[in-house]
Amino acid sequence: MDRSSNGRVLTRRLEYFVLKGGRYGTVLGLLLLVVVFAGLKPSVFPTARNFLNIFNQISLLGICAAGLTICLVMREFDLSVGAVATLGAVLTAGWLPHLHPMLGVLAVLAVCAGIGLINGLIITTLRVSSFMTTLGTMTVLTGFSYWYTSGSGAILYSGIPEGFLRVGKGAFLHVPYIVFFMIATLLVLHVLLNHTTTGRRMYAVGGSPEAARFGGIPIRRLKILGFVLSGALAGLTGILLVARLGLAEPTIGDRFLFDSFTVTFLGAASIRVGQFHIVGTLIGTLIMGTIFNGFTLLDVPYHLQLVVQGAILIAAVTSAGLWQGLLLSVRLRSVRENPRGDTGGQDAE
Amino acid sequence: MSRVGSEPLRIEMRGITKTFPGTVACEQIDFELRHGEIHALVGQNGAGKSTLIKVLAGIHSRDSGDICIEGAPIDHLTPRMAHDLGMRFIHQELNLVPQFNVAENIVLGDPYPLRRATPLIAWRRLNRHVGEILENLGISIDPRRSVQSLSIAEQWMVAIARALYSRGRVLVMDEPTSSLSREDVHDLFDLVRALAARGTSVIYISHRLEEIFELAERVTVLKDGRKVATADVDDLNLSELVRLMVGGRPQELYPVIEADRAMGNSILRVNDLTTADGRLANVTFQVREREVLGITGLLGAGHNELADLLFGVGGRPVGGQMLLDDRPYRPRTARLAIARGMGLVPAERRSQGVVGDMQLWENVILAHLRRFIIDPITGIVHRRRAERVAREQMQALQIVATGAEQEVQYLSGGNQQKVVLAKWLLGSPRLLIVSEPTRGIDVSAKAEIYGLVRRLADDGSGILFVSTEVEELAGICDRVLVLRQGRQVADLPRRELSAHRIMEACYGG
Repeated sequence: MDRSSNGRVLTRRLEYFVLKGGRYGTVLGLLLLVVVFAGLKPSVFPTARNFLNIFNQISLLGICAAGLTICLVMREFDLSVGAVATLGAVLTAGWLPHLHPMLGVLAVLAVCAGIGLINGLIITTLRVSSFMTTLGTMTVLTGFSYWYTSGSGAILYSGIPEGFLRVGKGAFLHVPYIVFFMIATLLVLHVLLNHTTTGRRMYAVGGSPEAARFGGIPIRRLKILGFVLSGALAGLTGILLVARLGLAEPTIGDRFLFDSFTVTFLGAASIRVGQFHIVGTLIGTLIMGTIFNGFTLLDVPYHLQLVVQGAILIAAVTSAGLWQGLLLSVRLRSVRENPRGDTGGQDAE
Repeated sequence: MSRVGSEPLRIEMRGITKTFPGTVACEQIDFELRHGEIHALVGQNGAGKSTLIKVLAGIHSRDSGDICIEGAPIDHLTPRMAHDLGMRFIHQELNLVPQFNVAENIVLGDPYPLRRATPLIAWRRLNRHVGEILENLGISIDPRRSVQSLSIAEQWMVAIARALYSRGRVLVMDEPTSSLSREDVHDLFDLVRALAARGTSVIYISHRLEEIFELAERVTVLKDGRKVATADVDDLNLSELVRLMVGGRPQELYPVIEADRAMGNSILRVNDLTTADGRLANVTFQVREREVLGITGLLGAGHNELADLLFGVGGRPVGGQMLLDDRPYRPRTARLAIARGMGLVPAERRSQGVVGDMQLWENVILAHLRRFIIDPITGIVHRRRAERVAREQMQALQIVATGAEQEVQYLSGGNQQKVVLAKWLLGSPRLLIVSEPTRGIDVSAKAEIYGLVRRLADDGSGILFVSTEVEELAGICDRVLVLRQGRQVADLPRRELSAHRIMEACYGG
């Protein structure tokens, strides 16, 4: 009797820890990274300049990953984000010398959103898995980008207007313009997903497709919209890449595929565990940026950075899974102890 | 009652017939639903309840018959139309979004209240509005709670509130109480009665017959795709209802079995078996050579879990002991179970029993591949020998197919089931578990499968016959074990076996 009630208290504590503690694992990890790097490089790492630098470095990734987050909310993959970013970059570098910059940028955005539209239409009307569809568009677009740049030795850099390049390099009150782009994007998408009918329905589609279908939610339209947004934001990423680097080449956006998936899944292991959300994506992006920045300051070679990046992703995602598994077993145990349906620890807090 | 003359019926179905390849699921069924009525729909598995409901939901189109809703004939019913006509279907899955709170689940699919001149959701107004609706229905649940934290009964209430919020006028509830405690059932019934009092009509499908007397005004009994009766609940008692559901069926379907035939040695002894999740508690029985032991219960009673566990594909026991041929038996995988002489004819024939896109002969030798392998290193199969064996089995079991090379997915359900049986007959297993072997199979194939099962037993195997069809259990088992909520509630010997007796034990009569 005594033993079992002891066990129950322990179970409740464990459940409390799991419920409240586990969700902040990635945030704690981020803080830990900051502390460690600050300890190792006290004169360089914890400076306002360096933090601005980190934000500058992650901005483009943040924009691209935010677009991907919308697709992932609906449990669809968009593997074409990297290739669309590349396409956006090479088209920007190719068109801007000949068009009015504003018109050129809008045209590039329209093309990239159009790629998203094609992805969405194929997935919803032909019922092909998003994984395979976007894998296909990714390959096609990569091929196109190579072809498009092949005439000029694979690198486009000449004739890009100065005014456009200033967007990528300029700053307002020491904060780079690009950081504002990221903040605006994240803010708008956060509000869209959490405070509009469209966003909530996207979550309903991801949470229970059956419930969404029976509720008369226009699943196909929402999915198409998700891919269009994802395409457009990947395109914006490519445009800003050119603004920052002043050139485009056909592998320029490749990293955004892997990095976007890494940070969105890190995000899904944060705060609202098991769900993709913009705040999580921001946390994931900050973790990536901090690691990259800290390792560069410490002169850690690039190949080792990749190893660590992959390991962190796996660790974060499995720990999230582990937490959920623990949670489940705790619940099962409390149900077994108390089969009447009173879920014990749950409302104790 | 007086309303009937003046007002049209809410739903009137006349002569509904629906056939599927090989079976008549509904035959000339009449069904009517009044305004504000709670109408129970009962029948055994395969009686045609779910087909009838799916016709009403517009999921299946009827072959013939008329449907009138509020007096207006409906020609071609689609799911969209059914929804627009106010029909709401709540299944056991409930279709709630687990990550959402109560309020968001209730407005799901309907417009959210918005802040003036913006696309932003007015959360406070939403919560207040939903709170009022819940209060009106007498449901005390905070609209901001996550549905995952609710009990099953509360989730049902949310699903019902959602149906009403979207202006549902007909509520179809499928087995709402199968996982609820007594008190929860009481609360749920209060809610359903309150709805009916406001004019919502309810179609209530349940296997728990005693509840029908508590809740419903009328009951319609289906059997073998036909309507047996529609009656006022007050004019019936439980055993009359059971008689209507079971009816009398020609006995020649089943082989003749003597009441006290001699059994052989004990094959499997199970003592006090208990699982961690509580699905099984203190189950004790034994199976002997030449014995067909039936295991049954209502949905979720534990009979399926028991079959899975014995074959090493289910949960782990935490208590009790199992002995197979007097040696301890704790199968962790199906492979180990097969090595000890077990066989399983699973309930999900198409997904677990046969490999649809493999040929007939390949399916037949699947469990005994090793015997047909010529060369242990490459694993090459002696195809000619395998096909010959498969053809022998085809002949012995009268499997109708174009040949041993036909892909199994193109066979009828009955013939597929015979292929599964052939697979195990090849090894003459010590103990064969057959799970719902005749589900969705026509009558003549049923008779053949019963014959095969009996023949296997006569040859010395033990059979564990897991089924929810009480008539076949009474027809072919030597003994039947009835489970209720994971516990053994009856162990009926051959001379006490009847469909009626088994069903009473299932329902706790």
